[in-house]
Amino acid sequence: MLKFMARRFSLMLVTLVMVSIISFIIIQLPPGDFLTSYVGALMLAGDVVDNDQIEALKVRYGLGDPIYVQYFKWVNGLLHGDLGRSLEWGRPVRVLIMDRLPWSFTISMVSFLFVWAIALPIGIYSATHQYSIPDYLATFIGFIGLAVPNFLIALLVLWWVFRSSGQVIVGLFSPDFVNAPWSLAKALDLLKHLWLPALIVGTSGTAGTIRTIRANMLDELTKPYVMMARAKGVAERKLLLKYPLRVALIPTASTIGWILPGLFAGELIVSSVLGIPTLSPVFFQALRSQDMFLAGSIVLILSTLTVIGSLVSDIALALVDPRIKGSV
Amino acid sequence: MSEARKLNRRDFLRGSAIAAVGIVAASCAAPTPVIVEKQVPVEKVVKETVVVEKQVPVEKVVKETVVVSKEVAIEKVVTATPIPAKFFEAPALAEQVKAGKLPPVDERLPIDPFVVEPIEQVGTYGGIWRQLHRGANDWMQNSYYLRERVAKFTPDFTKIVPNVCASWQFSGDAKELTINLRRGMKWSDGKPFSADAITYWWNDIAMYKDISPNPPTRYRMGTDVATLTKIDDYTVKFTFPKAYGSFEDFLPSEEVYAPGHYLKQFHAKYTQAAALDAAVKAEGVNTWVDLHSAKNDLLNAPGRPTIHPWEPTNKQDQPVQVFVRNPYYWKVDTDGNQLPYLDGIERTLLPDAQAILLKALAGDTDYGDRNIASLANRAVVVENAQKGDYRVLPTLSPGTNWGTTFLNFWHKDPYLKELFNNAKFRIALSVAINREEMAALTEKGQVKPGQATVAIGSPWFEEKYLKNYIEYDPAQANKLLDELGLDKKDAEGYRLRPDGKRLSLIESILGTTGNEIQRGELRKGYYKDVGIEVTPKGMETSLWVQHVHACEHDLAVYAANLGFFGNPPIVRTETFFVQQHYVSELWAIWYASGGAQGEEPPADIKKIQGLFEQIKAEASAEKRVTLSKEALQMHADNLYMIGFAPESDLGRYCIARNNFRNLPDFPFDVETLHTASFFIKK
Repeated sequence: MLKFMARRFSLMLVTLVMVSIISFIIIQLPPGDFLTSYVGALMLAGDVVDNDQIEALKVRYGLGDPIYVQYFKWVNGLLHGDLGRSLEWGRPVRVLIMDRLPWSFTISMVSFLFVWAIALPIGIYSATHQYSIPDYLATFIGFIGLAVPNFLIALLVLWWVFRSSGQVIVGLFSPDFVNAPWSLAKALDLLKHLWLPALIVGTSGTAGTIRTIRANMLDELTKPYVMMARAKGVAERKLLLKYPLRVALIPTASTIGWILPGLFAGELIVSSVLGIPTLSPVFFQALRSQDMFLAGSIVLILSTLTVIGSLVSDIALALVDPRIKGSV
Repeated sequence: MSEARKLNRRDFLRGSAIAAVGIVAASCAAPTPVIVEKQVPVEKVVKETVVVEKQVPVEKVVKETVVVSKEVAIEKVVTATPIPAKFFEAPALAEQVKAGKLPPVDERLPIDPFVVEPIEQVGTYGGIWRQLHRGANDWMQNSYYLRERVAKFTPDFTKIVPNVCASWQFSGDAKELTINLRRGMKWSDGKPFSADAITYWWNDIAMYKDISPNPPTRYRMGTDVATLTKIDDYTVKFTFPKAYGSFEDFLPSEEVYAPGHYLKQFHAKYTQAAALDAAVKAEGVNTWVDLHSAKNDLLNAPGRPTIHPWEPTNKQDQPVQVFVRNPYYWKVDTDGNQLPYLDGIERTLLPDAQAILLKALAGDTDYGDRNIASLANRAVVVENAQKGDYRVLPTLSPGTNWGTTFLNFWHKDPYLKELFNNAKFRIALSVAINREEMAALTEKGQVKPGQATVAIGSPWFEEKYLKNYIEYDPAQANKLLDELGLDKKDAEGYRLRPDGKRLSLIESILGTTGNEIQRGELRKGYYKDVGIEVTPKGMETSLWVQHVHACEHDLAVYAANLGFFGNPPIVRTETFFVQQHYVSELWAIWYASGGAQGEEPPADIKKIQGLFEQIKAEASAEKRVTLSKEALQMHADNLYMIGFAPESDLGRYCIARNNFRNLPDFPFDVETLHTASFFIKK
């Protein structure tokens, strides 16, 4: 077991190095660099661009260096705990990320709980009552949730609330609380705002999870061991939860490592629209403006989380199912 | 015409401004000078010198009127409205004074504070200005409201008046510019704002190699750079290598100062490298230069002393950036109330433009235009005005010509190069396109066709610059193209080049979505009708910039503006072929390098470059206009770029909550106003 874990761990390190190289190259791949995007953005806004200033910035940011030199500078910093400096925000990447990561986690976690709280019962119900009207209804709503982009739902909700109440609910706090120190009132205010992004981010996740659970359950329900249990007179509820559901959950549980980056992606534009101070809008803008140290660091952090998530679920699976140990 | 109506309103405003003028040249028939009286016992001696010294420049300028025109002298001497006898301050500051935390308001203000004449009325203290912004890439959102330049245009753009400085004078030969500062003016930390602020900016930032590899363009003439001399604590002098009368045009956009007393602790010239290292680490940057510029960030460096009305308490990456009142702000209203009226600013970060619009519609911003105002948004903004309790006010349109076509005058294909450099070909392209139809189909008829030129109604404007070659006339286009030797056609009706190949061009459009793409398709049809195959291709912004700068394009489409209120033609990069722009590329490089690099331009371009030199040196504003018009006429005759239509005035507006006052009702540019005089009416 130890040998297996050590092997997985060293593979994880190799993966991360590869990820860092590839992400750095991909971010650099589009023509131009941070400065050309910067100039372009100014131009589209109709602002005047000072050529001298651009030249000076180019020298200062080392954007004239070849890509591998820039990469090694960045990695060297990483090894010293320095993620570099965001060209666009003019702030250390570490600070930008640390300010936002907790919120990203909060939204992701709340959405995750929401997804499972909704999807699990519906999924089981749909499977056990296949082709019933509630199953069709859940499938229908699920597909809409899957098909409609989250940001559109967010905009529609914002617009609807604005039309009906004249209010625009963005951000995580009411204006009075944004810069106030933490208190019970502030925490309650947070809860008042948190449900909406969590709900919107969760919609597509819910739909997907309902479908997965339904499909896995349907596979299991017809298997002989279920029939056997049923024949032996086990109560239907107990039977469902104890046998087929547990088996049906295995594929889902083993992909738990992917959920985190998935939620990040879902949260991306929703957070932009709703003005939630998470990592995603910063990441998105960093990619658009080719702010490579910021974007690269976020990719690396997300990858690290994913890889660690996979490692954990692999180890968990290996513990459950000894066959897996030999296959890696 | 609506333009005439606008000017009338401006004239009215100008009249009232002149009526309030305190010190006026004898040559102009205006009110008698007002003697500055102010009871500040401690500084009384200084005050008396001020009055004497101030009269000297006035006399000097009057003498200059013999040489220059009358109007120029008036511009320079109109300095201030009468200074109120007694000063008042915000209640919160009065409390701090009582507690001994702040000196009294009389000591915080300069001897000769800037007296702002409120646009609507004298305001009351209090309230927060709520703003919305999209993040680091939107830093300009706030900069227009807060930055304090050396001088300022009056809102009607007829005059340039002192702002940060008390006054300035040019020497008779236009080689020396003397700037006089306001005596007793202070930074927001209470330290004096003196000539040292300017010498620090000049010696330790603008001319310091590590920070600025090249001296700023505006202070350079070829390889010669201006020099700065400190005359006394409140006077500095720029000496230019050659006559540089047009420098006046730059004063409303120049900030020539920095808080040296604060920044020295981050500058390698004044602080040991070892001591800087710790600060560099703490800031998370790599070098002291980065540290210095981070600490000198105008709107985003809490702790940096400022002379803006409000100063930041945190950075812009926070959900809400909070600005608080600068207790040492140096402007007062006509009743002697120290500005600003508003207690502070709260800038909410909302990365999505649609969400910003929605917030604005709900009345969640007090005043703003960025990310809100556009032609497309106008209907919804107007519709919700009552619900959101705001009003929609017109702002000044620069009249930018979106949809301007640039040709690659430096093409690698010698035939295309020759063709593009021929004015006849450009005229043929221009009359081949149906602008009326494009305006109707892509802009709902809200724009009127016109070539790329200066803003309508600006001092340099002539109708003919706008209207040259805009009539849709395919017959004329065909005739011109035939004359160019493009008279043979292939089976599909496309013209053939002399080498037998089809005349086929790629049109690189900046951006991949929006109206310009639709217009590209329309132009493709018009060009096809006259036998030219043009393929429009939308390009991502960065890619487009690189592609065009490398001169790899055939035709390129983006926007152009040769000058507008506050931005005379010589500050625009597209007018004179002296700075790199999509219309000037290799010719500008040739000019800037003194002929060492780039490509030598034809005679007409050289003539325009020569006009630039003349305008730069010219001290008379009137002659600068005449010379600029010469260049604009050449643009109109030779059609270096092919315009579509100046943007619609309807797309330029701002929204202001109904209780947010002191905003004009004529089209204005917010940079000419004093945001410190905005207030919330109770």
